Amino acid sequence: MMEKNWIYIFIAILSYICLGFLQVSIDYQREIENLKSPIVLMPGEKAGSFILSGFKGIAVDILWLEIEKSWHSGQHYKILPSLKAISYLQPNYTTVWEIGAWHMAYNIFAKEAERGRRLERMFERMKEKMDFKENLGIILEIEKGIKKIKEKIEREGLPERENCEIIRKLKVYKSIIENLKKDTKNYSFLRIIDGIVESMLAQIFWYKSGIDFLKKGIVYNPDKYNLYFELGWLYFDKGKDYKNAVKYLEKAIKFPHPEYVDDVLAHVYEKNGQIDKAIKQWEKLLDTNFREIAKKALRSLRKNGKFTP
Amino acid sequence: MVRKVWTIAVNTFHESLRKKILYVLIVFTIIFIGASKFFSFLSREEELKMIKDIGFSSIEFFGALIAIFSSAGSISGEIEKGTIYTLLSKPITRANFVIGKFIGQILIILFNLIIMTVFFITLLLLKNNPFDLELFKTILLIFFELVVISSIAIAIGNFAPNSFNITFSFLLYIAGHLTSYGKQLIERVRNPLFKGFGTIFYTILPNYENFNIKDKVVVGIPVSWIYVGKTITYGFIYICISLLLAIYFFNRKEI
Repeated sequence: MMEKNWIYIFIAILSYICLGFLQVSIDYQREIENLKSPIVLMPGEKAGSFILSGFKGIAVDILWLEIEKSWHSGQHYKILPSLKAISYLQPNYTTVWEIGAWHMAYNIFAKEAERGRRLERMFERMKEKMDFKENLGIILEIEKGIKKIKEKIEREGLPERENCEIIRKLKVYKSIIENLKKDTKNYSFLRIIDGIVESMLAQIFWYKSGIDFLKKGIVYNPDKYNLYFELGWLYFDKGKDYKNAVKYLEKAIKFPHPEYVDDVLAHVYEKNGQIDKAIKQWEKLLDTNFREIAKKALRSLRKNGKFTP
Repeated sequence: MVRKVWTIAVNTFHESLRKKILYVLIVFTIIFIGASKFFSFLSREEELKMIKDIGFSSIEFFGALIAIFSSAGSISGEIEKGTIYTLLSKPITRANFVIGKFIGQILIILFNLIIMTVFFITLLLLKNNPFDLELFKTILLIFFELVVISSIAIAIGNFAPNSFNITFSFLLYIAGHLTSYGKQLIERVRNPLFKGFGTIFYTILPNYENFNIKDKVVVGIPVSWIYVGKTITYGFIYICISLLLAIYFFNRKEI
């Protein structure tokens, strides 16, 4: 009986060897089907314990509920670590990349813009009341410079590159203000102008962060239309960078997508000066729900070469 | 032989149905899955994702608890009660007895899984989300994971006390979900000895992460039938190994 019993162990060991080979094959399959889970270092304590037992989805849901709570209470910056954590835990959950980027480039951006406007109003009020004896000329020059930069951004869109003229100028203003702060009596006044410069730099930073976040999301989800669309839209709407907008929207339409993506691409082609392509794009939309607007656009483009305001 | 095994399986199933803990765990699962309905303040897409996340996780986690609690004491319980002597005095082999007990556990796992899945599907249907093939694949792999857990608990139950078996099986369940992370750590180790030991350990431990496709399915990543097939084969081989070991240890038992 005992001798026969060893057969079980023998077969079990043999099966283990088969299992080893099969596991290699499964690992490979997980790799090619994007089912592999990378090692994650969690910034949140709550999520960590769930990851240990393979409940990433639940961890993501808890973080998502925290985002909801912070969102409704206006704590925009508190959302960021949770968004990043979710993007680590479930990188294929495209909603997190979309909402994260939108949150940075629109919500936080708007908050910074509002702060800038508030400071500008304060600056105007103080300028009338105060009697400046020191450094008034430099401060007013900076104010003029900031106004010019704002106009440039409105005309040409937000910059993406770190070493562009706008950022360089803003950084120079900031260092000048820092130096003036050391030996001036108008400290509070300088703090306001400093705040205006900071808010402009922050707006550019959050626009750029939104772009970077979407680009990272695309690395994990290269075969879905939505992240390319969001990136194209961001370049179009905030950056007025029509070249890049065309680049990403053209990528978006390579994958199954809703009709509005084609609509946006038609507008972007026009803005990028590619009228022929814009016409072709509108023609494609003649058989869709965008039929009426496509007809108008085609009439206007053929007649005036312009449709998008 | 088949009839004898089936009789033992059916008896095991009826016996497990009498355990109160089974119903407690089913109720817990239903409460958890049902609780996901409270997230209706979220957008439809987010709410559906949460229902699926919580649903799959509850089915898997409570299913694992049911498999462990039910299987751990299935053989040792017979020994403690003394009913094993009556059974073994009949013309059935020890291997038949182990296999019968195991099939009984499969029935109980299937019974629970059907109840939980029906509730889960109903909830999805209420949200106008049909139960598609990807969800079926997820449930199918969860089922095989639970059967593997059960077979391991049966094997351990032949040489270890019940409390140890439950604790060990549960820790193994957690460790089994971490093995894929372990593999990634092993790949970074330079020492060939540690690497070798690590690889052997990785192969020996059940890799429950193979069965885990829920995190991907809920975000819309399709899983191929090739992967599902390979994983089921993996589960089948692991079940065979566990049963062979269970029969080996049961044969060595002096009863």
